[in-house]
Amino acid sequence: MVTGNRNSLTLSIGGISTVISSESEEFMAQTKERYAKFFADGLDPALKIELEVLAPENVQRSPISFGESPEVSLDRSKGGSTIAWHGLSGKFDSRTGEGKLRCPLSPASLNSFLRFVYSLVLVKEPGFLVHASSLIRNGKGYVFPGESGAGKTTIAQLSPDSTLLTDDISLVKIVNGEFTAFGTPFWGALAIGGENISAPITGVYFPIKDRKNCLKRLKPKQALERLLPHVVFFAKDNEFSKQLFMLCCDFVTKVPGYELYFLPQSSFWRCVDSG
Amino acid sequence: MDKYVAKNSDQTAHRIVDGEAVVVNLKDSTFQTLNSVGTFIWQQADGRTSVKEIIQRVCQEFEVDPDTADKDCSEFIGELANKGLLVLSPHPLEGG
Repeated sequence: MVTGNRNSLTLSIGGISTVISSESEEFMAQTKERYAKFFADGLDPALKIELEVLAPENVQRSPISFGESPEVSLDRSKGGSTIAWHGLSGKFDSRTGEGKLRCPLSPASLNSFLRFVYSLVLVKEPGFLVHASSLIRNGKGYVFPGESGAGKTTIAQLSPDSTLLTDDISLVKIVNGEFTAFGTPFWGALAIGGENISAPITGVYFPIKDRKNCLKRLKPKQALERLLPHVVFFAKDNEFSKQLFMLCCDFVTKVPGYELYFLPQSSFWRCVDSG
Repeated sequence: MDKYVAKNSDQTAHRIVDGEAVVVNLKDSTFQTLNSVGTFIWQQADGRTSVKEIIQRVCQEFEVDPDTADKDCSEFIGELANKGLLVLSPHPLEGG
């Protein structure tokens, strides 16, 4: 879809649509390829992100780092919830749902910015992003949170009978009173985006590589202790943080949590199914 | 001198899960899980109850000898106050 001399496309992630626009046709071509499963043209977008692609010489001059841990500032006094992210030189106003991003020619930049934006807007849904792989199997959603190397991608690879939602950043949202897992384009080592579908979550499984398959049921408090470090949230804002914390408490209270000790074989699913 | 204890509501969020408190420090995004005694103390920290009163209640509730309760509770309350989770005041406090 072309508006004037500006390319634009609409994505729907977790049921929240975002129109992305940029004058750089090269950037939009890359974006269209990466987010193909998440196109939602025709929807009235809730969010708008305008991109300005920086010329390489401007990127080099920039004193801003491009690390994975952006610094975030949030100033409610200036136009409500306006957030300035000093990583990719992006801004997002959560009142209007409009954001601007200046970045190099790389879809990864948009991906980082989208994670940042969605981590903010999801709290109101309510929902949250979490470092976890997630899958749908027989109509049920399964979430596997963990740090790098815990086995998120391995679990996804060992699940040929399942539909991949993501191998890195899962989107969890309450739909009709149920915690529901959605596919995301936020991928990890698999380098494959998830399917843009969703399913109610039947359990949250914290993977631990082992020499046997074994499932250990966790009390909600134990699950909360394990979940919180993996929840994605950039803004250092007390009100947002409180809402997110309460939501995580609800999540572990309603969704059964387990430690999943697993062999690198798909046989671990027998263990999961028996839980 | 006895002091009154209150939760630092501006800087914390908490929830009782499985009968025990999980407290988040919103300033640094760290969280602390409390055991049953810690949770009991946390619940008593309402700004109108003093450290001495809390220690007495712990003795009654958990059948702990007063000296042990005094030492352990004072340390625990001091630790949470140092982390900014509790506030100590010579006068009763609002809220908590």
